[in-house]
Amino acid sequence: MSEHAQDPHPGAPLFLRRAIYIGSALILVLIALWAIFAFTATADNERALRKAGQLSAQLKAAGLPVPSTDAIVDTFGDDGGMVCAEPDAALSQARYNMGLSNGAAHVGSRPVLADKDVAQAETLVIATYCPSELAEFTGHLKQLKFEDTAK
Amino acid sequence: MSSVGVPAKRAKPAVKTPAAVAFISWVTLALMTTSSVASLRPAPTMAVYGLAAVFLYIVPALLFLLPTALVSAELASGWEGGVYRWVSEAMSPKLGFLAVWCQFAMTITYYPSLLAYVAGTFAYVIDPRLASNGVYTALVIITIYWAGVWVSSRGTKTVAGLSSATLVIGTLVPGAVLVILGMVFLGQGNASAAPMDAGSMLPAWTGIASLVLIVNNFLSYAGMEMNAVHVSSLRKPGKEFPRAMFFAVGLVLLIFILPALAISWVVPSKDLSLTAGVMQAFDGFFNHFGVSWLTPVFGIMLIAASLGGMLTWLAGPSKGLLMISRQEGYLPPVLQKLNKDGVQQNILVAQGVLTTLIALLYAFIPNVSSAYWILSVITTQVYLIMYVLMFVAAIRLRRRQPDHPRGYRAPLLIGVATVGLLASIAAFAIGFVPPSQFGNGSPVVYVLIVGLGMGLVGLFVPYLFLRMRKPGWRTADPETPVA
Repeated sequence: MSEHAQDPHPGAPLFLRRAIYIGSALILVLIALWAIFAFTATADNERALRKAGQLSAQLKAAGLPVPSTDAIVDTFGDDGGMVCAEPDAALSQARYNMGLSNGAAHVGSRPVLADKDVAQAETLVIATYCPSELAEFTGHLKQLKFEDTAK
Repeated sequence: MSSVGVPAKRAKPAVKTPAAVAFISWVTLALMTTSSVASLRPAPTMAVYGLAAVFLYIVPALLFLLPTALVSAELASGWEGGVYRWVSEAMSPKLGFLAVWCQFAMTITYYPSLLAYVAGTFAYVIDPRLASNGVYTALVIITIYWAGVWVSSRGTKTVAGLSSATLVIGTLVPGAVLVILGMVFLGQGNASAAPMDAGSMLPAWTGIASLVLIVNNFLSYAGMEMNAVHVSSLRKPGKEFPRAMFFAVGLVLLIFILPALAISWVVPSKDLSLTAGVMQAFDGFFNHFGVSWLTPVFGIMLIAASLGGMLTWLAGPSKGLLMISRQEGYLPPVLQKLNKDGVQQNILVAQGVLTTLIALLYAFIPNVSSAYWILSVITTQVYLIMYVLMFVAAIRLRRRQPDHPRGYRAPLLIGVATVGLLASIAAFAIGFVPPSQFGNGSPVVYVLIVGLGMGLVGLFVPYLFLRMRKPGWRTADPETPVA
């Protein structure tokens, strides 16, 4: 294959490319600053510790892996965090499906037969942190099929 | 038809941009390729498998990633234009069109899931209540997608700059931070949340479900060949493309494996991966180190990386589709028209209209996402048709044109391409096994849905284009450059 003596591709002129790069960087920085101020960190309080204790006991009783109390508090705080935030929303359901897929990041993303322990652990998390959502969640789980794919 | 293929005033062929400005480097192409394939997005999903995540990425890498990379490196170093050209040379222009059509058509379901992820991640860091707001979701999807179309319409160089920068900002830097913090976590004497003993190196074996998991992971590496369409943007394509490909292979493996492991050390992944997703995994991670303010920053960085990947997919397959259509007249002239920057903008717009409709359905109607995942199986099946054609093309070209100049000759190419071909066929066959989302529905119905959908998208639509084409639609003009 021949090597090129000169570029055959016009593309956008340099000034426009630079404007796009600088504009994109500015938008990114502004949104990141907005996000830092708007983001609510996971709570680490008495209620979070109590909930973590309850979840530990339930995971143990179910024969599932039990993380440390600190790890549970860091992840779920005192309200379950994203697990309990708007579970019926379209975007939340899209997220469920992402959790049931293979390891692809882009076009190769495809559903798999997910691990049953994941579903069981999620049920316990919801029962602990947002029991009012439990019926809806288990109703959703009944429509799915799980296997034993993770150790 | 008069304006077909003729870029507007600013990009007249007579006015050449200096070469030093508009070529891209092999490192940039490597970063573009990595951006098309890898990100941190699946890291929490794979962290569920703990140490076995290594196996789940390495085995598919040996059977699918390496064959794809080696074959693409050889073919791109010998023939410009990407998969359509390789298959056209080896078999026929019609099959070349089919190959690039399959690469193009499958992206239609990719964009909605990506945009929903972006909207969901942004809602998480700004205000989680937004996740249930349809207007918010619609605004995010439309704004981001069409901004992406506009940027992609500014040419390869523009896309290359943004996608490589977002890979560094949104994947390499946060990935390195995750891995370093993970090692610090273990170094502090903490026990790993997931077992890291020898018994955890292999995933659980439960027959077909495990096979589905392993074989479907072949598709984690889908897209490695896609940026070969830009090979003529390199100064020395014959030497630089293989170099870019091998660099990208290393980066992709590191990005997929190490962050997933790091998350499995720190976060109880098995307890949160179904509903929480990537952001809550990162939140648990950063809370442990008392740097929770990093969670929203990472969220925005991950969004940037996803959008960089989206840009490469907007720019790549549509360019291949344009190039073969200009040569063979497979698309109507209106779709072959170039904008002032020499880009196939009308193809992008036509694709964008359909994508927007699907994405809005996906975002507004909760149950659509379950049906949508069957669509994603159909389109990945369609993509595998392209891989089968590509591996067959590699074997035929090596046998029939052994003396054609190639900048790189892959070792044991026939054997390597055969492994890739068999891996593609295996992934294709596994695509007919119903996933979790199909519940306890009839497997026969599932096979029929996937089979018919694949036939419709991957075979019937390109057949219609071939059937309806007219001799006057052939518009290839060497004086009209494509960006």
